[in-house]
Amino acid sequence: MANNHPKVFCFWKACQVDSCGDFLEQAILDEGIEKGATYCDIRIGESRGTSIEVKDGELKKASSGEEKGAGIRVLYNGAWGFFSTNEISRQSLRNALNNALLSAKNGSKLTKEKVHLCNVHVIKDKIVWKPKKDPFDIPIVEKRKILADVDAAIHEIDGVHTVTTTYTDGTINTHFLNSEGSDISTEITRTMAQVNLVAREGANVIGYRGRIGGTGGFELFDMFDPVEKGVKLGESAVRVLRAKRSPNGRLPVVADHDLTGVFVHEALGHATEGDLVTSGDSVLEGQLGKKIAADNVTIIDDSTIKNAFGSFPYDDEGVCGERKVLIDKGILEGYILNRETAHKLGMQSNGGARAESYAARPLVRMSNTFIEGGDYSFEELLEDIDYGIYAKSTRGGEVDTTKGSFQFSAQEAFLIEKGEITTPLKDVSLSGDTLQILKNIDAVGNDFVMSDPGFCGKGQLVPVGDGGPHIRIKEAVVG
Amino acid sequence: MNSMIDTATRIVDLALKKGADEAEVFFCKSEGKGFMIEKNSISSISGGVEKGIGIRLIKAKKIGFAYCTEEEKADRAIEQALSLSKLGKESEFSFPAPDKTDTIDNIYDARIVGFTDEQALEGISTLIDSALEVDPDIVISRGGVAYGTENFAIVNSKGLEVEDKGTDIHAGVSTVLRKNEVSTGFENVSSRILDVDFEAIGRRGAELALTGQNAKKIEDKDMTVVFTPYALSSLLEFIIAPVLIGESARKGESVYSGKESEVVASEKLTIVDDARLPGGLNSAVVDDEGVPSKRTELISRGVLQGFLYSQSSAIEYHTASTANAMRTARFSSARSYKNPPVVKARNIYVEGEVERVGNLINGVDEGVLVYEILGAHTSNPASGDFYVNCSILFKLEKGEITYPIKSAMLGGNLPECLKQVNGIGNDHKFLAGGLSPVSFFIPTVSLDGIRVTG
Repeated sequence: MANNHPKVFCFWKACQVDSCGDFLEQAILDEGIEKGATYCDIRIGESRGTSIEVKDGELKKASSGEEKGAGIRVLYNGAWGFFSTNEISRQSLRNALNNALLSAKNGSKLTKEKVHLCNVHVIKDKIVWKPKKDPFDIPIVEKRKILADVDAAIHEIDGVHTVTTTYTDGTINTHFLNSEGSDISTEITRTMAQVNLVAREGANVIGYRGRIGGTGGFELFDMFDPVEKGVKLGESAVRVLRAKRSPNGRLPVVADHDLTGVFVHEALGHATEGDLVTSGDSVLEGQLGKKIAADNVTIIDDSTIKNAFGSFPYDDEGVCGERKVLIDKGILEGYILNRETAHKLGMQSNGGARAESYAARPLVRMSNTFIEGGDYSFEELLEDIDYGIYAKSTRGGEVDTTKGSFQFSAQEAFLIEKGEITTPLKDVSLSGDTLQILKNIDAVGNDFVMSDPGFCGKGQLVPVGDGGPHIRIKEAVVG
Repeated sequence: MNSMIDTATRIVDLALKKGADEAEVFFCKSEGKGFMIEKNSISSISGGVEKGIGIRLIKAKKIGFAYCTEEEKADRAIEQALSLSKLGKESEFSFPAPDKTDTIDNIYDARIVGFTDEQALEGISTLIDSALEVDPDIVISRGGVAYGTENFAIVNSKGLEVEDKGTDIHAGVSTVLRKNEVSTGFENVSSRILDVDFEAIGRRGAELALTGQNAKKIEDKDMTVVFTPYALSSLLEFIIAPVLIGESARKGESVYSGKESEVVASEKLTIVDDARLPGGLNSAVVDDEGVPSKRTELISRGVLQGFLYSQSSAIEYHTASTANAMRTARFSSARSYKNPPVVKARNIYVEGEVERVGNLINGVDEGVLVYEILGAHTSNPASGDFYVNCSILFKLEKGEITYPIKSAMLGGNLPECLKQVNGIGNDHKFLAGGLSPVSFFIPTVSLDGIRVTG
């Protein structure tokens, strides 16, 4: 995986002072400060995109559009106010500013703990992550052809009943300015295809799904073949359709990269989010420096990985994206932070502030979260298992970070008996306890793969990546 | 309000002028406010206004769609939609004709439109104080109050011209109590009118956490599960709501396919989709393509009656629209002008012979009372199988609530469980969906057929 050292990349660009500041935006910030705010920022988001859906060879939906809007944040007397609008005019932005100020003033009367922001560099930068094959330039019939090809290929598989494929692309241009002098423009394109299929035999019916894509354009479909992916999904679905139910109880589990990714995201990632840590909502509060996982576990959240779905150059507070070591050889080394939570913890922001769009205020979010590869080959992982489960592919999971309990699902599974993969099994879900299960990872594979695009919800949706090698969990609750 | 219809009409006319055979414009404006609570304190106040236009058109019997945010950009959006329409296949689809609509009660409250920051902050203060009165160590780790107003207008080239407006308010808390151990609680309330009891929300959220102290583990066993409304809504949203969609059912995508007029659930169970429900979170005079809202019986005393359709799927399957067209965003419970309408359940209402929740509990020999589940969205709607984690639940033994449980997994097949309904409560609650625009008016329900793993 390509991994530019983020700080070098950003500062080099920062030397080219690019006066992309619009007078209107700067005037709004100045007005905010004049009216008593201690900090203001504005994000203007402009986006365009296309989405197509094909079901069983027929085009069901084709839509396209553009949107532009602004979100203004102010800090007044230690309280946040935020207001957004999708009308960009002087009057409308001033109204938004005044609303944000009024909100902050009102909030400050009841706020028990004043908000402070850690210091960050003032950055002036313009970054365009131009895709090699910009979807904007690709004729729509080509986009539809990808779906039609995937649809046709999956329908060839005996047992596949219906196939719904969706293609989505979007380019978001964000202009961020704050009252400290930062002025950053970024442009990011993401492209993705999704398959939802139903396999059926008599009364027996199951669903299966998968995605492909990332940050980038049509070149992603050269890197990851959608037809090949679709066929694998179809084959898995039919295998699951005909499979037996999994045994349940506490069992050793080997997880593939897709499942490992969601496991890391749910079991650990959320609990490291700075806002949950500082509001009493995380079992990892106060655990920095403590051993919370097995020695072979190193978990990273990295927003700089080329083509990964959760990558971005700067977060929504103008802080450079970076590679964050969350767990290093079992020890909790860091949290994901924004400026406010970094200040509360006496640390530095590491670029964790993300908003779904200009219309939402940034929250602490993950980017691309994964376990680093270790030493074991896949066969070695299986060797020591007398009776267990090999679980693959996922529909996602969910976590209660306060108690540390989480659930995640595998779309497909197999029995492991005496070190060999044997009987195919139906989908399973696994659950566990964060502080316990991380210590139960007793072997980490050497076959790291960044997994498929994902979406994380926390009141707002953001695109994320996750992944890892195969891992072996000594014991998980399987149902 | 006339100006929204006027704007939409002008855009429909422009689309026809530019070559569309039929056209439809959905124009909506919304505004909202949100107060976020973190650690017993207000942490931020947000607000926003948004307007958007969704344009659907038919040319040479093919459909295209595009969106924009202002009338000035409609010309370009129409061109995009015309261009996209060339991709599609010819269909018999035509926009709905105008039809009589009736007003619906309790979906617009001027008091919400006029709700001030001061009033909201006062409510939140009350909420926080009442939680702390239950136990001074309670922390509302996160919570919030959000409310908003939405106006929309739909105009199409068949002469349909309709508009409606609505308000809503949501308040909720997540509570944490660290005493002998960490226990959690929550309470959430959604309504179309200003009838939120802030004191009750804070108190109930805190009480749930308090009663969760001294939790024990339980043995793995099949047992009765009594789902409170919020927990039940998660399962219904991801497993039942998707398979009630006509197109999906008629294509054989679920266990309900082909079972019309058959017994698919307990005779104690009636499930209705009622977009005319007073106060229903998705209630409006029309659906998102202007068809007057209806009440549709889906399962009646255990017998499957039918499914949900929009205008296009109704035409395809030779039936009538059940007014279930909704314009939604991916994984969101909010409406969005950026997408053409798809079929979604609007207000799922569980009816039947109802009884007091106390009676439901008294009738349980061994079981669990479940408040919250994690992972329902990972269920398999085609098969109906689910395996979810419960983080807040209590043991039921011989009709009594005996002790809180640390956590457990619940596994089963929901359509099968719905055949084993022990009883339906009378504590109906309005609940919004988590990751889709579906909403609910549902009570506590007691079911069998579930394996509980400790």
